[in-house]
Amino acid sequence: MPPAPPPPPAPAPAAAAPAPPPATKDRSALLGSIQKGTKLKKAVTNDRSAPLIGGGGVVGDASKVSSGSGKPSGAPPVPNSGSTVSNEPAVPAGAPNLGGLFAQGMPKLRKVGNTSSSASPPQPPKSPTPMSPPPPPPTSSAPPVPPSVPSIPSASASAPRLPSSLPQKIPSSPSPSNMPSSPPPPAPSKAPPLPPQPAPSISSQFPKSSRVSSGNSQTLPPPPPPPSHPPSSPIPASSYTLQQRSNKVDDHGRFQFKDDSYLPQPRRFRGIPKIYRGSTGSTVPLRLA
Amino acid sequence: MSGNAFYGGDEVSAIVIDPGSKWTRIGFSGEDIPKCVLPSSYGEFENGRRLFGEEYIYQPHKGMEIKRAVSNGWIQHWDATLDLWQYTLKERLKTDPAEHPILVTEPFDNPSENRVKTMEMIFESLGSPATYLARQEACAAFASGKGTACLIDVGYERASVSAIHDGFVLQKPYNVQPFAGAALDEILADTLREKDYETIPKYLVRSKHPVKAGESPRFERANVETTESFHRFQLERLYDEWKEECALVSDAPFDSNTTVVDSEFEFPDGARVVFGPERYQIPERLFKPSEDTKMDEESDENEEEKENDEEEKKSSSNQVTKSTLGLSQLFQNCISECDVDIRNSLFNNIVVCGGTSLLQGFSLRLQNDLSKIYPGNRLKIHASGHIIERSYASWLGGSILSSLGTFHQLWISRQEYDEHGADRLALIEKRCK
Repeated sequence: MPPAPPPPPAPAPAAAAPAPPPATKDRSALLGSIQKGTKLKKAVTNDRSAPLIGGGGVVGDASKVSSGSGKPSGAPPVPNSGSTVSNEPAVPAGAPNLGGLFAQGMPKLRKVGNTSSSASPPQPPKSPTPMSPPPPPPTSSAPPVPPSVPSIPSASASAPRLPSSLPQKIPSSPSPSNMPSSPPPPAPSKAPPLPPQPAPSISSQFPKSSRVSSGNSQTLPPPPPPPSHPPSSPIPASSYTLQQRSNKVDDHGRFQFKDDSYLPQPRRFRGIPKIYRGSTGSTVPLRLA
Repeated sequence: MSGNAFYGGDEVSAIVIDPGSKWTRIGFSGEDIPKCVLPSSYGEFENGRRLFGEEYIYQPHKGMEIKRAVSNGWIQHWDATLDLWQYTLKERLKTDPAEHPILVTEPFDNPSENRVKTMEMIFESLGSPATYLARQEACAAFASGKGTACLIDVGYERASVSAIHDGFVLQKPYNVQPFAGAALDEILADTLREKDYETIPKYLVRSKHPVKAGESPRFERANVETTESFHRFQLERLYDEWKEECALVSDAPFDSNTTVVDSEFEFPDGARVVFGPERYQIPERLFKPSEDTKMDEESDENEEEKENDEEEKKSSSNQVTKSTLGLSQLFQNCISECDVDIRNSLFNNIVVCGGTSLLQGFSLRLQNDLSKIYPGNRLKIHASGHIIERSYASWLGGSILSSLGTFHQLWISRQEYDEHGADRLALIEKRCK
């Protein structure tokens, strides 16, 4: 049985109500991270609570016939809602609160299959006009690094560093010759055309400070050769040494070298993509790919 | 958990369950949308067998009654709710609840015995390792990234205005009433009866012929045998479509001077019914519950008489009583109970959520009404333009909350539950504020 609605408040002074608990240090940290916001993983839902009818609103259109049993479609964006900006008091556009907020170092969105349902990315309505298809939000995940890129300079030990530098570099790099404009929104769509281009043109956009391998030799100097191992066998007396040298180094007992077998075994290679924990102990995995 | 990814650490993501009066939202924490949204209603047969999910309960089955597991925001049928959650977790999400901490949302006025029963259900029946009960109102505010907000939540069975300060829902300012989407459905049903139209939901229509607007429908009736509760359930779906398509909230209180734009609505049996003032009058009731939108210059005596008559007629419909308030009044009641110091930050952070708040013109009307009541104050209404964020606000807040690193210490673990002993309510009240 639903309760009766509350009666209007009496003018008499109210009895002492339980006050909310006082803030603690942890609580403030929690609130702080809530206000900073968090980027949630992209997921797909099978949302059949969405309206069945297709098309947008009926506002101001007297002759529109709306069908009660229309085709199923994704939920149409709500026109004219929360987007009014009047003079005073102001009603701000309904900000896409999830998409626009970040916590420090939060993981990027993880795509869970293709979005066939109403779960389209949140869009910031800037005007009262009905929604037009939004540009991909600039704050969405960094363009996915094509998996082939790290394998291109496979010869060099510095190849793994490429994925980390790539997301920051692509938006700021000069646009490839086939792209006429370079505002940030097309940045996510720039990534797909890049892989088919030959590897040298990708890395040629990178300043020398990013350590790209020597496989693309046009602009970058070859990396230094791997450090040579100290010889483990006695140096044969060669013609250029003036005196015999033994392989024993007098280190005054500072170092206690152990055999290589004491090192822990490396993790068994599984050959599938690794997922790392996001920062600050979050349970949301960090996706670098 | 999917088995084909290699996790750098041992991560187990929590499950977030947000039971509403009409829809239950279940998904994984940290995701931006609940993977499962299914009705809180379920089908039940005489032999006790139950069916969950639209693909089953939207189909007419012989002898299937439709019942509601959650009503007025509170879980009512515990067995059925447990079945519903287990069905969703095991069959739809393909996951074992024993492996995940489960966060369940609850309304602020959730009775104490419900809170204890929820926690018991999670630990004992679902076998989960940890749980937390989060307030839906606070979660909806969190979904907007706010720890302090005034939340206006108009859902299916209840409309509430609450003040949230630093993540806590304040006790005295909390206002809720059972007059929301379902009430509008009842009023619409009455309106259709007055228009002399017998509402035929889709499952009864085998085939139909096109007719002109206002003509009697011509259709062949499907030969199905169903229960009364199933029929009402299907009518509710139809009313939802009407509310989405036809209902319009006028930006000022609706009266005889309001410009009316007619609209035709085609029903599943082919009938094309024209709606004029009704488009506005029905959602108007959220702002002005009593029926005097139809009256112009009546004397007070007449008004009272009419009101009493209306009330008798309305006794069958969804509790339009003398104490039902308009939304602006609910808001006023809430603010007036708040400390003057926090009122400004509440005014600046008014969050609108709930499925029924998606009515066309709702936010604009709210803005106009509230700014008339508080002309000196700067009111900022945050009404997300995105349907998902409005309808799933409390789930989204739960998802955010349970994925934050700073939240992890707040989980109630199985061990604490076992060690705590008989007074479980004390445990909940201490840990889940």
